Amino acid sequence: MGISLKNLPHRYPFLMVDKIVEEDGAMIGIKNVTVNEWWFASKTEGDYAMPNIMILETMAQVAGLLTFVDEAEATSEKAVLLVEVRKFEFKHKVFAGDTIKVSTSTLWCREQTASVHVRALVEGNVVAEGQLIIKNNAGGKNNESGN
Amino acid sequence: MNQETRTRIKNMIVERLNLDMEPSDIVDDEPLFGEGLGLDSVDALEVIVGLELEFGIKIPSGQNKRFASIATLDEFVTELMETA
Repeated sequence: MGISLKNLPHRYPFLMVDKIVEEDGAMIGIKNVTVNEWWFASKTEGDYAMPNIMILETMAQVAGLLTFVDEAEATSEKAVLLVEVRKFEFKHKVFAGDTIKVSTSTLWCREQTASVHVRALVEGNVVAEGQLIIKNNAGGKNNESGN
Repeated sequence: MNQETRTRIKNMIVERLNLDMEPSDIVDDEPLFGEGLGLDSVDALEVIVGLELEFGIKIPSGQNKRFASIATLDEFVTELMETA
């Protein structure tokens, strides 16, 4: 089952995932950070550390792509919203030239809302890790549980 | 009233929601949502999943009023366990 980046509504310059690949039997998201990223334009020359908020955005987009996936949804556009960030920690900086690999694990999914553990690695080292609450709002429907 | 059930519910809520308080600090009749403990709708889903795992029950949707407090949850969980 292929997962296309077109399943996300995000487009350049805010599409923060380069591709989804299979690694060790699991689907992961890849983001290659280059010195040409738009957020580096306003930075002091030579300071090519990726802003943490963009690392988080990358991880949220991967979670959106890899969660709520079934045969029917694999080819349809989703509108996954980031609802909340919990127990999240940035452990190391990410620099231009790094390749971020994002893996996800769904902790629970109910009422079109999911709690997802996300982990970002660069060269095998964890750079950020935590729990995201995301909501599948495909079709613009209000899926509020009310509980 | 089942004190053991209430203690298990409080422990689960504090652990899963990472609350900065002791489980024993939660008052049985205190509202869980809004004013009171201040939980929100996402917390509610976390509590539902936590209750299902903790007690091996399946919680049907549309039971908002049963989540008012620890006391009402205790009653609800006990009912579900008896009918399971």
